[in-house]
Amino acid sequence: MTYPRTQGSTTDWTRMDDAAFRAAVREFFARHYPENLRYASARLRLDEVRDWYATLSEHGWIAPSWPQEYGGMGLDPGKHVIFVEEQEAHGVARVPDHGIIMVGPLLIQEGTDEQRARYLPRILSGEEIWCQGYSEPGAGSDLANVRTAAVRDGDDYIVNGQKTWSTLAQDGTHMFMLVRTDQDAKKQEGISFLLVDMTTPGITVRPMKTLAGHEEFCEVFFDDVRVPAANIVGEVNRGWSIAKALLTFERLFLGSPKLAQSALSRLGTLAVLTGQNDDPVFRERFAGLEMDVADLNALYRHFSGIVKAGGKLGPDISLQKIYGTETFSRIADAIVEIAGTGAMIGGRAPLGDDGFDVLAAFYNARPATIYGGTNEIQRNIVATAVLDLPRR
Amino acid sequence: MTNLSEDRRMLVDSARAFAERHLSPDLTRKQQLPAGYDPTLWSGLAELGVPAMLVPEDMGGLGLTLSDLAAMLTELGKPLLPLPVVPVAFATLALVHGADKDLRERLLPAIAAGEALPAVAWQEQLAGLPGTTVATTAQENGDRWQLTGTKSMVLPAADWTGLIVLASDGGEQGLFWVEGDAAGIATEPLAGPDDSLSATVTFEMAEAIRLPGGRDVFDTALAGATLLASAELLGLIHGAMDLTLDYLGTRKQFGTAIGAFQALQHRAVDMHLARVLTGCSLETALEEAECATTSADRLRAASRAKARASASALQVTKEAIQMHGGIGFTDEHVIGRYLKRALVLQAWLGNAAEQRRRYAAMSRPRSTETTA
Ligand SMILES: Cc1cc2nc3c(=O)[nH]c(=O)nc-3n(C[C@H](O)[C@H](O)[C@H](O)COP(=O)(O)OP(=O)(O)OC[C@H]3O[C@@H](n4cnc5c(N)ncnc54)[C@H](O)[C@@H]3O)c2cc1C
Repeated sequence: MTYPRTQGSTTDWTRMDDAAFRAAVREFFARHYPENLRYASARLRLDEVRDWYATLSEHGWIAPSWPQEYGGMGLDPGKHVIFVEEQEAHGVARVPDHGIIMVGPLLIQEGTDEQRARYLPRILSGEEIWCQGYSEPGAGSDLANVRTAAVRDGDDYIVNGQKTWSTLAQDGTHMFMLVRTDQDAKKQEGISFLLVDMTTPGITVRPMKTLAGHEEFCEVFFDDVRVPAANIVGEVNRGWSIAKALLTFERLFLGSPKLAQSALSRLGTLAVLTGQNDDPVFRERFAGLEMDVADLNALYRHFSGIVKAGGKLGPDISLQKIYGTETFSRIADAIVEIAGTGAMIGGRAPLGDDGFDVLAAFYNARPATIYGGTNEIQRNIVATAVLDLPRR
Repeated sequence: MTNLSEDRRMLVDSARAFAERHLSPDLTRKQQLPAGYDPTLWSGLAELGVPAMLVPEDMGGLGLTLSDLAAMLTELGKPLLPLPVVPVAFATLALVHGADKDLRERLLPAIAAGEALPAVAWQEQLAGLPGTTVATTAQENGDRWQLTGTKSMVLPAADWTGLIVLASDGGEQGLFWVEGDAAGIATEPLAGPDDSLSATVTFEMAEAIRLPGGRDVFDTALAGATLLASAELLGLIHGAMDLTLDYLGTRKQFGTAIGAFQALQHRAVDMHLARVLTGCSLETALEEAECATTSADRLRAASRAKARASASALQVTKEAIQMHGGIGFTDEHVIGRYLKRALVLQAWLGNAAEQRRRYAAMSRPRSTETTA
């Protein structure tokens, strides 16, 4: 099988030292990333980032952590962290990356040769875009309660049910989802991991608007949808442990300091625009938040250090998600506070040359403590799995 | 709230009945009518006597107190109130205390009937302590004045009968009346997160008359409006809490209502504490303001209530979204309307931090002599 790498294929990143690698990444973003998309305040839609996806893809930079034999950059965890740090420092937006972050690594580890050959090249090229179908109306925090059923019928499964809150599913060509394949087993033991082509008859996608006014997530309905049995990843009824492993990894990303960091710099900008930067009361407040962000970075270094050293993240990674999102939220509150009646304006308030969207960070802070497992659930995990406190 | 007088109870009941029949959080969506509110709904409220409450009886009003109107606003605020009750009350207070007889006789009966729509144009900068510095100028021209400057966050956003403008005559700040159709006024509407409208109003040699009342009258009116905005926020807090308690009791995860989880119970109690504190703070601040003899004391009392109400409203609505989970972040669900309305009301007339500053400024410096 062949994996498309038109350029960059001659560079072996793994041989570079970290400093040289960092410089190369920085140079790459500076040269290729579109200026107008830096520090976007909302998730960008596929049509806005398609060109950027293609650029990454052409240069062989789209999948930093995948092994080179599958078309990735083959970065060790340490270099991958550097890559992400530079991406965030430059304000590079996320492309629809569920395929790259979740599906690729999963198939490389658990998939069949046929699945790898079928799906990986198309993720690299951007031809196929993946969305995540875990949550359901009755299965949010209690994810193991998924009800969407997949019933075996010859070489296929017939899928019926509903997924919800699926981020940007309207742009997805494929969904990786959790389905119930055994109705009688214990909750966690009857779940399988299934790959579904979104163009299959019987699938309906209904985009929903968020509080912030963007169509950012969807309900997805399945009505007698026929999916080949070959699309199960791993063993049948073993999907729960696969999903759990992926969630742990996701929490490092969701708790990364980037949201807090960029909100802090927005706060600094706003203070200059409103003339509060010289106010000693504000200076002290800002210093407090600045220290929080520095310590958030320290926490991140601690956990990414584990990954860098090739170790496995434990349940205490939930701390990163909690502190990252809550620090972000406090900074968003400070923005609303110092904006005064600027908070009465939806969209850009007339502050500075380009205007200033006072509420963008405040809106983004709301779902951050909900998605990827709510912060209540993260605290429950730490209490029981880390502190060994008794369960109810 | 147990020792309500009979009259007050009737007012509250009538407001509750109106709210139940005519208001709902979804009404606050896309209300981008010219003035940012629905005139038919406003007429309904006028029939209830709301704009007449602060107008003296000899001017065709009901001659009731701030506390009476506050009690009604708390009811009206529960399902969210997309009407300029507080902005109009703000102007009414300024006219009652600061206008000459002619203007009062012309405007107050019409305000009471819900037919005149006055607005106060006072704030200039978006952030900081609104209204402390005034760059808008008033120049004398015979027996008239001419105003030049820009005011922001004017509510309602259009259709005014006229504007009460805070301006500086070079020496001191005074209040001026500009007819709604006067030449030299340009307005630019701004949409709020809750789809309400405010206006930026620019005066270019706009003709005005000077009101006898000055900054002192303005401060008294501002204190009144600040207390009333706190009352509307209190209603909003009740509404958001009631929806959330309901959700905690009905949404099931892990085989039980999520309200059974102690992590949520304790935070629900903190929300309740915030709401009770807001109610008590407002009640005593209203009493203090009504007994006070200086505008500084009125402002100080109002700042305490608004600081509490603003902080509580943000706390309660943010928690409400969190406790609703994913559905709380949809545009569809009404709980988001509460968050957006809270953002606007907590900011208008000064947010919690700005109120704390004003409170400090209005407090007498503590004596250092006792230590000597
Ligand atoms: C912007 C956004 C994007 C998302 N994208 C995706 C996606 O792409 N794919 C996908 O599958 N899902 C996605 N989700 C869904 C997300 O994972 C769920 O919303 C989340 O897991 C919470 O589930 P829920 O919404 O059903 O809330 P619920 O589980 O109903 O929770 C409601 C409240 O109860 C609390 N609660 C529940 N159980 C407990 C407990 N045991 N102890 C204490 N408190 C508890 C919760 O913390 C929360 O405050 C997204 C959500 C958002 C907001």
